Amino acid sequence: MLTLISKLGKITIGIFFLYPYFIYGQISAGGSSTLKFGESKNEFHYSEVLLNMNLSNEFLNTWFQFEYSKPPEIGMSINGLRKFRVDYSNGPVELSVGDIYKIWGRGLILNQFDDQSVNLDNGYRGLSFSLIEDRYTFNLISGISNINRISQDYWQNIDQESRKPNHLSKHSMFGSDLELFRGPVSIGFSFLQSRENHPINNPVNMMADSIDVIHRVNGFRTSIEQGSFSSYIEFSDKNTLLTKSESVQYKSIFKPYNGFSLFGNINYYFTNKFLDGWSLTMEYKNYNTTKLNPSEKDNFVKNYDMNLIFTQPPTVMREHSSVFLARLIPQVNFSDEVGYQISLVGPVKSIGYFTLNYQAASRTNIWGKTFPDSVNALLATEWDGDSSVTLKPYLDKVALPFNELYIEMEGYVNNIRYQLGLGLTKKVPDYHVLYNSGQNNIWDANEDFTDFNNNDTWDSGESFSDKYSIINEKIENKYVSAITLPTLLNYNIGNGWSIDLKYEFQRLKSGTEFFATLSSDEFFEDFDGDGEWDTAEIFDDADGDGIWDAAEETWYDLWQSGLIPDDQLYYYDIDEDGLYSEGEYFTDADGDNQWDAGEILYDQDGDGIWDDAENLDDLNNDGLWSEKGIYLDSTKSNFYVINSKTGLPNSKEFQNNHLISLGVGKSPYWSLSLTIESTSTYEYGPQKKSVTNPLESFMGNIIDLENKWIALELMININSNTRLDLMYGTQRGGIICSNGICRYVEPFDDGFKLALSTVF
Amino acid sequence: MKNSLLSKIVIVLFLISFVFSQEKIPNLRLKMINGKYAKLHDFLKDGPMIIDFWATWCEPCKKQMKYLNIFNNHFKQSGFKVLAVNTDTPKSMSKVKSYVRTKKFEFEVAVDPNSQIKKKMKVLQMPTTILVDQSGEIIFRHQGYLPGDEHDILKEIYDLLDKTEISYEKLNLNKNNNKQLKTGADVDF
Repeated sequence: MLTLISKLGKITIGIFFLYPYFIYGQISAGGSSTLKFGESKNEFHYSEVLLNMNLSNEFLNTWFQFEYSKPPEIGMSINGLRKFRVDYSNGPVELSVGDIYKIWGRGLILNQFDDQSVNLDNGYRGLSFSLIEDRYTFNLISGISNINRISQDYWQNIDQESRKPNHLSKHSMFGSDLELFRGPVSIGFSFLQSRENHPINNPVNMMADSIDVIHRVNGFRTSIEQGSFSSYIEFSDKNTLLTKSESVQYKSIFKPYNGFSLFGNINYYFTNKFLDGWSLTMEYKNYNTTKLNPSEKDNFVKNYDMNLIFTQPPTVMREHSSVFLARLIPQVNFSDEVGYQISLVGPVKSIGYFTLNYQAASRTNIWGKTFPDSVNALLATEWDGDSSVTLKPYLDKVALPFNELYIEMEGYVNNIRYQLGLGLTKKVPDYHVLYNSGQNNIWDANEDFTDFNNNDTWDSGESFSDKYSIINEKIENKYVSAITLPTLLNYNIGNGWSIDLKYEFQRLKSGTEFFATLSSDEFFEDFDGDGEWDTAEIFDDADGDGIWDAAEETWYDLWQSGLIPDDQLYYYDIDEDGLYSEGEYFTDADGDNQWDAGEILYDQDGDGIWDDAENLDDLNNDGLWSEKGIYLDSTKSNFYVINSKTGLPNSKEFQNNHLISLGVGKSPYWSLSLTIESTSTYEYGPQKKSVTNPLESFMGNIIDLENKWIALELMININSNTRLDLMYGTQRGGIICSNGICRYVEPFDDGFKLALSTVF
Repeated sequence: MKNSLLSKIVIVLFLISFVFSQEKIPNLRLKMINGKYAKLHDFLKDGPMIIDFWATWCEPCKKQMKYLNIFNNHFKQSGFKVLAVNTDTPKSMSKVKSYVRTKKFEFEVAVDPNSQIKKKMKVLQMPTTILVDQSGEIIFRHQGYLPGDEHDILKEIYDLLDKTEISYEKLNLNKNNNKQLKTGADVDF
């Protein structure tokens, strides 16, 4: 018997105990199921079934969720019970056991949800006890939270499509929350502690290891609602500690950043004669629980402070229904971000409603690089930031600023509903600093020398130890700016028929800005010892005959023939377009400065041409030796078109995107929509040949198919409880964001998707 | 093995329960937009109601809400009411009050920022509209919104009020619709 109990487990036994309760009480039973299936020519396959079952009576409510997937659209494959919970509620008492999701205040300390669109499930399995009275609420929680996440910074099992989590964050947590209500005012106090088992590299033997850390968060919140005015403010303070049992080696390197989070908002409703019906909303965030340099801005694996995943405060960002605008929303960093949002909304006579929304955000610190002299400057450089607090977002690019102005007018003209929007967006998504180091052949003040004449100063001709130093600082930041025009027309014909026309236009500018500084003079190999740079070429004369010969090949040919491994492509394919481009490595056999079959040319100055040149580290590519100082400021677009004559890519500063969706619907039975998305340029990066499907072949008789994605979607309400969604065609990949968390979705190429959802 | 056995037991028990059960709404505790708490069955004291799940980012939800406001105002004399459960996450919570206030909606609004009420009510699509009689039994459930769906919802309200012999005045939706079109529009928050 004991063996049987052990096999069934505590959960099953619990169900047996609960079941008679349902049998003798008035039961309400129901459930829902969702079936999703997708298959495409680019191997984006998924198949998943989710089954939810609910049983409830006056006091008890149970929920079981089963999943059968192989593989799911995103996440780990599960076959069997995924989630369960039993809730007991009687008067002011609420008790829950199982998989629990809680939110306290606006989530600065605790905000748990299961969002399958970005595969974030940050709930816990455990217990929750609540007392809810008119004048107060009290909540006590305890349990274990194992949260799957995808990290590009973690070495384990990164799959190509980034669909499968490769990192597990384990927390054992408990906490309590008290909220008091007094008329228009409410006040809340919260405490949460989590013991986390955090993966780490052992600093001594460099083997994978883990340490136990404790996160403690205390919080306070208050709100007031008085007539036309309402406001809310929440503050939390976080501390991360190392457990006493951890070894000395970890104690010495454990330096967490212990900070705070602050969120507030104000709503005001105008009631005067001129602005009646208008409302003003202001939101502010200042999340300072860690400081992350631009190189590790999203690295939650290495960062202890960033691992409170059940902390999901407000993003203070507008969520757009426009496809193009939604793609530009940046990933919010809930540990290191400052920003605000202002929104003004109101009626304009009988024309419709006007919306003005402005939002801005940045990281909380201005970072700089420190670069001590070193043999390997690249590895020795470190980011340097301070712990000062800023009240407003920075504009400096190292703080990754973002801002967006959105204006919209919406209303009705007879039976036509219209929506006209304008969005102006700017952001810096990435920032990098690169260094070159070398010997400069010049005696510098801190270098050792042999003082032949014993005068304690270095004199010309005296030998010296020429240290390696940083001679080139190259800053590059990605930039994105866009003008977006989303429009929507909906015509209600009558008798249940309606037509939808959606058109979006976006003029997108995206690329990399380079800004480089010489920390010292350029390095040259002074062959004749005259202290000046002279014209002197170096080429790799393979056969020693003094002329260029052998067969020319681009890096692309060498890669195709397997001579360049995939993981070294970045070294050759400088612009990352997957094609040979002017300026990239080639073997110039006949010395005509064109790639046409040839020998190896070391294109040292990167101009794509073989130059008469000595071994000069020509940092600014001007063919001349330069003194230290700022010398380069340039940009490189992400976009290009193919020159029809040469077949080579030509960079384009802007990309024009269009999205047209035409739909027709018959209430309450079905709707059908055709969506065509197009873009005016290619984007640098490996190109994947798209398959032309029958739908595209048909549309190809009407429009040019180059750089277009076409999809046909059908929705059928089989009955009021069952809905079928079908999609056939091609969908463009891109970023999708939900709850401030973004993930890249692979393109869906020539395939179909099916989703069937039923409530019973 | 253990998980498989557990799955089978749960499914069998569920199927047995399903045979004997009615589809009633659970008496869930709701957090209202003003921060106070309420029980779902409290809203059934005066008569039937519609529970509508919506979000500020959901275009069809907003198209439908103006009709729900008309239903709420027209049938309130008969004890009928609409409860709109907002499922925005905390990121949009500040705008929910503004939206409801600017639109001058008169129905009750609850918030469900981590979708727990939504899951317990088996809501899969947005919007989902659930018509409940005074005993808490689910009479009609509708997923999504296409222009014209408001007529089906209105018909279900009539049928329920007729069945329960609650007196009411017929609603001319087209007349109200035209009036609404002149004075209000949806706002994309």
